[in-house]
Amino acid sequence: MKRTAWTILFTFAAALGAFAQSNEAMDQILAANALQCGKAAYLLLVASDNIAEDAGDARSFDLLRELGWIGNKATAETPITISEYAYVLMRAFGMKGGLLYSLLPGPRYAFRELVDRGVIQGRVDPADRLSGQRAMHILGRVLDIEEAGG
Amino acid sequence: MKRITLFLCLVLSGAPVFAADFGLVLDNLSGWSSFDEEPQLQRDRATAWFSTPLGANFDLHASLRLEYRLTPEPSWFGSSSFGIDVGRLELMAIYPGNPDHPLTWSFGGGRFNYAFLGENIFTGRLDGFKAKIDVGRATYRFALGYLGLMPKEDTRTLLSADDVADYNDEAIFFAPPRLIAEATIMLPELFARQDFSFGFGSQFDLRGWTSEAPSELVHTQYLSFVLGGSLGRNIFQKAHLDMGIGELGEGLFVMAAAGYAVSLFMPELARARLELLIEYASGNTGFLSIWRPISERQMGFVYNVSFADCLSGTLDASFTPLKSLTAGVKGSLFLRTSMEALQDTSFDTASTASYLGTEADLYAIFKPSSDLSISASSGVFLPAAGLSYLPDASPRWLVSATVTLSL
Repeated sequence: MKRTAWTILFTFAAALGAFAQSNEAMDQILAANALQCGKAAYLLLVASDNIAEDAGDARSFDLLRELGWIGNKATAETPITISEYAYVLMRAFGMKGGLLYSLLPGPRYAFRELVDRGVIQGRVDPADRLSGQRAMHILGRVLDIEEAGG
Repeated sequence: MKRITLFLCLVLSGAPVFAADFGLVLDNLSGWSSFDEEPQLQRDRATAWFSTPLGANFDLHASLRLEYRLTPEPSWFGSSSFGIDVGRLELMAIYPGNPDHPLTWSFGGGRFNYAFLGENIFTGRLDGFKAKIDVGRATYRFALGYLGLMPKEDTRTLLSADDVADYNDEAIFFAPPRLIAEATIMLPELFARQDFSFGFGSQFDLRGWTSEAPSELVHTQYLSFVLGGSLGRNIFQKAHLDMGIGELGEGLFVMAAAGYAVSLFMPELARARLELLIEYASGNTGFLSIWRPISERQMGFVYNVSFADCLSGTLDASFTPLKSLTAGVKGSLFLRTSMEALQDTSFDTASTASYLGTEADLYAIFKPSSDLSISASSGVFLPAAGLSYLPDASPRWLVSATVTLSL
């Protein structure tokens, strides 16, 4: 488990190209039992090159809000649900979804898409909070898919 | 009607109304065939489903399906073309919640899908209980279920003369009242990259316990062995042997089924796959009796005779030229193992030939997105006219297409 986390951490750091600077942020993400929207925004927007790594949680969350990828009720401190995380992930990486996702883009069909592709695995409810470790695992699988050419 | 509209609105809006996953699967099956009794097939089904973990150790899954068929069959609504059925209703307990634990067990009850280790014995839905224990790499599995509340079309349980009579009786909707159970042990990579499994299954006709007086009672027990795994890079094999013993009235009978499949994958050649499958199911020869599974399956896609008293060979070649498209061609050859007459139109009851006929099928599956899939199959069966079939036996054909949309 630890080894997997570190592999993903290195994959992530390589994607950022700056292991040292992101180390502290990564530690906080990995330690989170319920990942907050701000931290999820930072993780996904930096990994997808949508924001600079020195942006921080607050700025990342503001960008997420501006882009309209997160609900109006959410704050940077609100724990993110796995379906919301799936939606931000798909938007951040420009992933194509199914027919219903194309017609009605949102967390529901993003979650379905990632379950169908095997990115989200195991017993899971769309409304579940997710730990930082799980968020990293999910991100790692998407990076693998991107590397394999979608 | 208002409730259905509300449900559709909720599904389509994508709004996270419940703390659970839910949806609607719509599928349409259309087909045309040369069969006199049902030349046109039409089935439309809407399945509403709901799934949620309940705390760390419980999962609840439920689905309800509404079905329309062109040909009216017995249903909840009498002889209407419409039917409604509980597809799945399952409560599962899983301990511990962490799947990486060296010992995990799960226990569930309700209505669920289940397949016996011997796929020739039972595949379908059950009302009952099931349990699974994973200890290290080994898996132990147990299931106990009742078939008598399942639509008879689903189980196709035709073990006795009473079962056949009930199946043909349009006033009867449910499958025969039978209790079935199975215990299985699966040992992955036991030796030389081969998985080994064995299981014991039982089936009891409960008619004897009810006031209904059956003309015959058939109880059966099955023992199954499966060995399968990699034979080398991109080559896989699977062998199975099913042995059965049955009780019919005062007498006992013995039956057997077996199969061997070898598959070759060629990922560099449009992800091509080539499979050779040889299957056997006993007939009334020597000390063996005709194979009687709990749920019947037919010999081929077109050849709609029950898989029993048969030796068949199938060569299946498929390839995936596009990520979303798989297409294939399949050829099968059928022989009978005894000289008993088959229950089939145009069969020559005086024939002593073993060769029954040949079938060729074409199929394609197109999945342009995760929520939409379209599949089409077509096939033709050429009966051995002048041998085991009458000289004027005509070729049979079937074309069908299915579209499935998950909302």
